[in-house]
Amino acid sequence: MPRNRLYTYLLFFTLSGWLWLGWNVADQSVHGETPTVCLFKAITGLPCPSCGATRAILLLLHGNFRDSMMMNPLGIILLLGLIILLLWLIADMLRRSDSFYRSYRKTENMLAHNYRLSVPLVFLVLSNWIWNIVKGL
Amino acid sequence: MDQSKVDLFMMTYSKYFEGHHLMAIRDQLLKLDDSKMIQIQSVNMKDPTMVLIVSIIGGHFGIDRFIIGDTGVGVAKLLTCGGLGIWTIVDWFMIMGRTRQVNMERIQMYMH
Repeated sequence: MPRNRLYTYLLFFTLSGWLWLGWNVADQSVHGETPTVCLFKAITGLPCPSCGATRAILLLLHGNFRDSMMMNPLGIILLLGLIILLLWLIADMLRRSDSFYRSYRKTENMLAHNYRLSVPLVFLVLSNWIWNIVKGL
Repeated sequence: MDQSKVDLFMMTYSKYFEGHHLMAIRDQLLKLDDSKMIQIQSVNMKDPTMVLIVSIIGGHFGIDRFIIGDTGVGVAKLLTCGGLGIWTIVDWFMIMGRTRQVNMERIQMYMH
């Protein structure tokens, strides 16, 4: 994927991620429950691998680390990703450099060709999905 | 390369590329050596229609992006409920164009 298109895509979705999170933080103080945007869950009723991530981040923001991990361990990864992506992308755009793009391509190549790395990751996501279904998120 | 061979190739694969790339590909193929034909035909190209069907069914998990080789974006889609559901829908409209672009990039590697 070309650099500029990737940066536009990722910046747009990082910002919408932050907006979604901010809205949930503000909204939760009123209702105490998060709405779902998950297409898969809306159609099948089953949670997807990342369902519960917003709730996990909200628990984390309330300092409830253990409950957050039990809700969905992806929450903490996604929160870190949101922070790092936003800062890195903006820094890259301001300095007109492509350090993020180079690391992105390197990681992509590694994931696509190094099966010792990608197969365990696939299993992790799958087991997290099964755990989500068992938990009934 | 032989004109009839090139025309047969173009007929078979015309829907795999953007319309405005077709003439350029044809010109380049005509200039190529015959021995390159086997390499060109063995390039792993994806059918845009097939990828669109995958995108409608499994786009929520980023499977469409994994198939065409955009692994990084695929992981991002997988881990964020398909980009909060927005990206899934955006990709229903973008994925065919992106597939044609990827096919063009792949065939370009063998044409020089």
